[in-house]
Amino acid sequence: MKGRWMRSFHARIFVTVICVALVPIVLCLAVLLPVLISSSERRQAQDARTQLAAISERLGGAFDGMDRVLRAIAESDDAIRALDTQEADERAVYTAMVNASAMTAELSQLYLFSEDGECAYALRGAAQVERLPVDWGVLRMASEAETVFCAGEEEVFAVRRMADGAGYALASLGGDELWALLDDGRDPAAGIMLLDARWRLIAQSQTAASPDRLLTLRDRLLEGLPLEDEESAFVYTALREEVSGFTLLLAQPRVFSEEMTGMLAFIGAMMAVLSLALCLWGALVLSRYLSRPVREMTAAMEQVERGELSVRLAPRENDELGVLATGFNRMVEEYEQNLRRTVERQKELNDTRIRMMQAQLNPHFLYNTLDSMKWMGVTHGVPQVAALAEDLAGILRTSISGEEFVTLGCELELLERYIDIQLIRFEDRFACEIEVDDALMRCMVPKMVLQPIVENAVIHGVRDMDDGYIKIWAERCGGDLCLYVQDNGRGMDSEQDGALGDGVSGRPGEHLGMYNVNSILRLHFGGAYGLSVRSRPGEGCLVMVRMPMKEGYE
Amino acid sequence: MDVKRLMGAVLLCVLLFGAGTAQELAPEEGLRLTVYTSHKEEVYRPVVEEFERRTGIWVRVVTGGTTELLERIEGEADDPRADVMFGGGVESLMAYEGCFAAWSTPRDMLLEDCRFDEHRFVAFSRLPLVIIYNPRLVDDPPQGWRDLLSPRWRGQIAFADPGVSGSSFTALATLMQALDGEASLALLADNVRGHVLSGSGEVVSAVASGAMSVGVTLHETAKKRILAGDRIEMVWPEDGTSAVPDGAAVIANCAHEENARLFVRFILGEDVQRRVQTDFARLSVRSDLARETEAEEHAFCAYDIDWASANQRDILATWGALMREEAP
Repeated sequence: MKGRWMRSFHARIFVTVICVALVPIVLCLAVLLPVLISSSERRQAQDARTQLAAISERLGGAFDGMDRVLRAIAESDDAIRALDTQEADERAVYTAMVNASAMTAELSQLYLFSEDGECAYALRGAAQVERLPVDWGVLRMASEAETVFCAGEEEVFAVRRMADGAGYALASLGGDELWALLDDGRDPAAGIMLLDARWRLIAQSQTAASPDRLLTLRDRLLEGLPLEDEESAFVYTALREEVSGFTLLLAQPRVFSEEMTGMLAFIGAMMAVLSLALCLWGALVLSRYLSRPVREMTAAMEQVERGELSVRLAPRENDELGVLATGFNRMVEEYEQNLRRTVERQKELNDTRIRMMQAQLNPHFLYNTLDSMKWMGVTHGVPQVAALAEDLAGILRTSISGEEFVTLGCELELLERYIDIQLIRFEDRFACEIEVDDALMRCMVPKMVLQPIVENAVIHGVRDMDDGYIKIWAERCGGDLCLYVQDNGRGMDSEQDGALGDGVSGRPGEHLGMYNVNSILRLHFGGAYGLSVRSRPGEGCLVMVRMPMKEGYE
Repeated sequence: MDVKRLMGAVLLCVLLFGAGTAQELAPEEGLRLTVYTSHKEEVYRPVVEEFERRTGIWVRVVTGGTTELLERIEGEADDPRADVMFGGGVESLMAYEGCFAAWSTPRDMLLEDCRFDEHRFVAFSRLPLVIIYNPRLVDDPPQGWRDLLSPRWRGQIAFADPGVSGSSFTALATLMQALDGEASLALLADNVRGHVLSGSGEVVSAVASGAMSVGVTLHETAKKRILAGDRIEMVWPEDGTSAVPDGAAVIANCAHEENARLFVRFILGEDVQRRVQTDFARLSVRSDLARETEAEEHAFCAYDIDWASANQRDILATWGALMREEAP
């Protein structure tokens, strides 16, 4: 059942239309969406790198500045002396610190710590720390050779041992100064985190992930996983700042958040469902529109096959199917008319047959009578009567036999009998010659095809002459058989040369036999065959009978 | 495609494939260490961060309860994820000793009873028990365990259920070892019967709020709450208290054994141990640091860890039976 349905015209149109309409949607969803997402992610990543590079460059500049400040103060004689000895020229120390700090704009505070970690001098206001351990944390990291950067809480420390190793110089960058560096030129929607070299948090903006989240980020980094998992609302980009070794981590809100991708997928799915519904409807309508006339036509044909010729298809629009329907209607109509004509002809034929059968009434009575006449002629010594009776009986037998076609030989035999009768009748005032090749004797010809023509030649041609002459011969003309009857009689009333028309009606009684023959030939073989006549008044007449060559077997 | 576009495309490709990913910032294998710790954040965090600062090693910290982490280590024995177990009472570490790597740490600088020479772990700090009281309710606080057994404190002692709280169990074991065994257990039971608290966290709260007058808790807890502003005071028992050590160990067959040893040496180092004393309200395991402050000030009883863990079940059973008795 299913297979049959699939084979139907209707189903194939239906399935094709659905496929054609759904493929673009599915392609759009399957190809366009990922391309869209990946291209936007790419743009976002590029944007992040640009922002991070700018921030990192500013931060690096600031760290370089701190390094210059610390180097200057660590090598300042006033500062060294002040830390070495408790009594110092405080003004000179402050001057040195101010001069050093003037080397950079990005500095929050500058301290000098004594060797045991006591805060001796602070550049701006009161020192936030009075004491720092020297065996732990920032001061322990300090070195004479280079400035070391350490993480604080919301601030960055740069520390350096004084040039003589006694005491420490510590610079801090935090608060507004630090945020000015981190915020400038950053997309406000993105959050930033400043991490130390081991990804411990130094500072983070409001929008960045929470410290808990940072721990998992760090774990993911250590586990070798990408920073973002499927659910994360942010996309992270990291960049190492070269001067301090710190890491900048930019957290951008995911353009295609899970929610948004879900929504896109939902919209896509809805569109697909909608277009599927539309497709189903369209395909159904279209396939029905196309297949219904076909089905109607099939049904109509079946009706015609059953013989219901009255069936007609409803007129349709003038499209291909409309043309087809009109053609079908016309065909059925013609077929119907044809059939009606055939039936009529058959009826006429039957009528003729009935008439013929009536005419055949009692042929044996006629034979017997003629036979009696023959024998009476013989016994009474009137051979002409006997010959007449015999010939007539022969003609009669042939003419009422059921066969429509006879061999040319047979026809000629009949003709000879007829001529014999006419010779007796006209007291041998004309002569007749038959000249037919034996090869043609077996050709089939309609019965009594020559007799009316010869009769015509006798009655209308040579009857009033004393030296009438009739010649009959046959020829093969290509695939046709041509029979000729020529006389030297008075010819036709008007000059004639060509095929004899159908005009039986025009001249009743005159040459009727010839016209009958013509009609018989045309009916049998078509319009190309029939009689041709060439005649001039007083100069005789030549009649040609043309018919297809047909060999028969006796 | 014109030349500009082509160049743009090439540039884009360079940017796309030339720019590094975050993974390039991940440290090499030799600079990694994974630490499982049952310490609170205020303990492990400064230690770990200082270790990172000094060595440049990236430490990954996984936190959890002692038993939970030890079971995890045991479960991962075939493919250890952790390099160091940091924290957990030594009796717990003893139970999982099979998971730890045997290696010789220098232990000469440690207190004699904290050396655990035969063991695969090291002691990190000691956690003394103290008596706390509410100074607004109590004028003459109990000076030692024996005072606590006096009927005077009946119904006024904040004491957590030793079946739940490890420090409470240690208190029972200390009492039994410092005084006269099960007899003292019965006396304490008489004093706390019907008022046992469900967890050690409630002890300080009960005393600070005045619901109870005195309590028994860890020195570390009490000090932290005092610093946080709770109005309680501490008494070091004059008849001797216990200071059960917690420890650390290198996991057997761990991925970063070199760094793990470095870490263990670091936490036994002077700098960290000094912070154990000053910042963490614990006692150092180093002899050079520990003795200078505590030896004269506080009395310590001999506390036999092996005995305590061996008899834990019996002690708890006895305690349970005492709790079910009728109040006298």
